[in-house]
Amino acid sequence: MSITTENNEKMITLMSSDGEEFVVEEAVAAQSQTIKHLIEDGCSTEGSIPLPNVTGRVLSEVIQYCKKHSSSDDKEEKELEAWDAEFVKAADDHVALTDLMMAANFLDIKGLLDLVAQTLANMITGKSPEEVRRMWNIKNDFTPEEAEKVRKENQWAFE
Amino acid sequence: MSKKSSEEANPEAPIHGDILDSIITHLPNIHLVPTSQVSKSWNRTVVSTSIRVSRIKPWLLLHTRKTRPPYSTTTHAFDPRSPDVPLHAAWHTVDAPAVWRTDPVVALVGDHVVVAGGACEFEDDLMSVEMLDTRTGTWDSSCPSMPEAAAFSAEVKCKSIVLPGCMSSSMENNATFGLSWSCVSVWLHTRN
Repeated sequence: MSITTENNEKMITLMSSDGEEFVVEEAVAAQSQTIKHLIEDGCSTEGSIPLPNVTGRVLSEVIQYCKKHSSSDDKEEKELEAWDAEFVKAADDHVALTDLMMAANFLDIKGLLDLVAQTLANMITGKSPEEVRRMWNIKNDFTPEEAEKVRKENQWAFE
Repeated sequence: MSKKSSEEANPEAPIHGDILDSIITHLPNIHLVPTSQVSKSWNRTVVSTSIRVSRIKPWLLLHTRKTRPPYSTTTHAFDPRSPDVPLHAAWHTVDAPAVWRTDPVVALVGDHVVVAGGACEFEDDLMSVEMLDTRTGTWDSSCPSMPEAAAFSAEVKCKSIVLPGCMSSSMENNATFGLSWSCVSVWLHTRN
């Protein structure tokens, strides 16, 4: 189902994995390469576009980003940078940022992916391997011998 | 608690594949070391991104030494890929200087970077001075040597300072490459 607004902007309906519907302008939705291709393939003509990997909470954040970035042009770069900084700050913690990053990856929104990746990289910066493991509940699957080998290979960095 | 149960339902760590790749690509080099020790898949990703992503930019190492006892030395490393770029530097690779030096004085004079002092004992001319033309990126070794007295002046070494915003140069002492970047080093040659 595609609706057309007064200024002739085609509207697209997106549906999150938990069934929430979002009606956005096509230009906003097309910030996502994945959605853009779906639109080009005619998937938006009947009903809403289902996004089975993205929850409503995350999708609303993604849409916020896409709206901002489709309405700003290059000369507002400085302002956009400040907005981006606030945007990732609002996402709060690494768990929310990870969700956001997975959505950006699935939806193929390069700007958002880079933005969140940089934010998470900054969070890792200065953390010990153990602290990083705790952030994402990663299992340390090195045997003691392997761990020692990796440690030795990198010994130079601490001398 | 609820977090725990969702993990059991999805045993795969949330950070893997493209996502992990993308995060590691955004890390400055120095942080790749602890990152490679997180787990096997993280280690693999660090190795593969290091090969794929261009990380060829060399580091600038600065050794600062106190001029008063106990003469403590501190080393600062500057990674041009680091997110905090204090120098707003643009890097250029130039040929290595001809003379092997330890702690040379590096100074910018007009368009030329002058390198003097610190020559190793086995060099033919301990007083030799080299000059890099920053416009052409070539070395001019026809500079006259320093007067004997200057070489032994500790004063000269200590008064090499760096002013951000103009132009400077750093030499890799084992002479594998020389670098120059746009921020300034000024040689205050003040021998009283």
